[in-house]
Amino acid sequence: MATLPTATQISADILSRNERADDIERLKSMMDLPTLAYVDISAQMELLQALERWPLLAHLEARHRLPKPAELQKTRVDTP
Amino acid sequence: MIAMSLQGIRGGVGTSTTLAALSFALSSLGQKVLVIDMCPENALGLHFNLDYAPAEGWARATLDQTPWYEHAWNIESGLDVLPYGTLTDVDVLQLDQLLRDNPPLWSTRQASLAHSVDWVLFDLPQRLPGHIANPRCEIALNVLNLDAASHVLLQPQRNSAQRLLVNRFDPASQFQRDLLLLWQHHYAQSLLPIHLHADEAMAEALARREPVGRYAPGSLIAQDIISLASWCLLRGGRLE
Repeated sequence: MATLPTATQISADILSRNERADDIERLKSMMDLPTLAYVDISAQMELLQALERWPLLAHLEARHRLPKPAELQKTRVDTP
Repeated sequence: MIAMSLQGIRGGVGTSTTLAALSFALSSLGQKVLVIDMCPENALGLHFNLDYAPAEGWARATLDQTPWYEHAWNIESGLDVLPYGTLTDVDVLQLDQLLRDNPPLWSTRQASLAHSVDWVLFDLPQRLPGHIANPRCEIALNVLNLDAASHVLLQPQRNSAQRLLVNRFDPASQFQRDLLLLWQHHYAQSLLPIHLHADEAMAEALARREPVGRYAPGSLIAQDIISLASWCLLRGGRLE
């Protein structure tokens, strides 16, 4: 089967090995958005649920002001 | 030669058992290993079928100003264990002061070992600053369990030079999975990529007075320990 050309051809040479292996890096490169912050929403949801499940973890997060999981609140999907 | 230390974040997380297993694994991978008990409990030798709390050891010899290296026991080819020796509580504090007053004491000793061993593994105590700070180690591991108590102790400003080694990981536990996720988020740079699984063989190994790699070589934990030893070899090779 012939390979269809993609709309934007990316030369593998100009991307680092990590970028070639990383779909997100590849997408950012294609869309010309190299600085776009990628947020793993599913992992952050898991983290949020962990803090909800175990009050001690939530308490210590607040108490010691560790860097909060980035933008946790924004990624939270409120069910109606 | 690579110097490495293991210290539990608290007692009872399995530090000495892990160290005994790791030393056996490194030795079985062809490395010459010296294990040094830095804990006044003086019980590390039990993992190697030595006597409980032998009277002679490096700590006793250091206070008595006699040769410290004469008290090492050869367990098998390429694996030696140096006990702490029996000290009174007052002696322990006096030795800790001596170690604080002489910061290069162990690094000088380590230098003298450089051509005879590949690895020196220190089993560090909890709260003796001189004992803890005196050895100079290229790799320092802090052993933890995925439990609430370890998490609480991990909270204050932690020594970021120490890598975190999870012991007794039970993937079936919801809390352990949640806590691991949180640690991976906060301590991504410090957390070792290898976690040691909870395995009854590890507890049985001490009861049998053997390192787990000899007692149950086919067990999950013995495989984990081999992975850890391989990680150490990789890190050591990079550092040397």
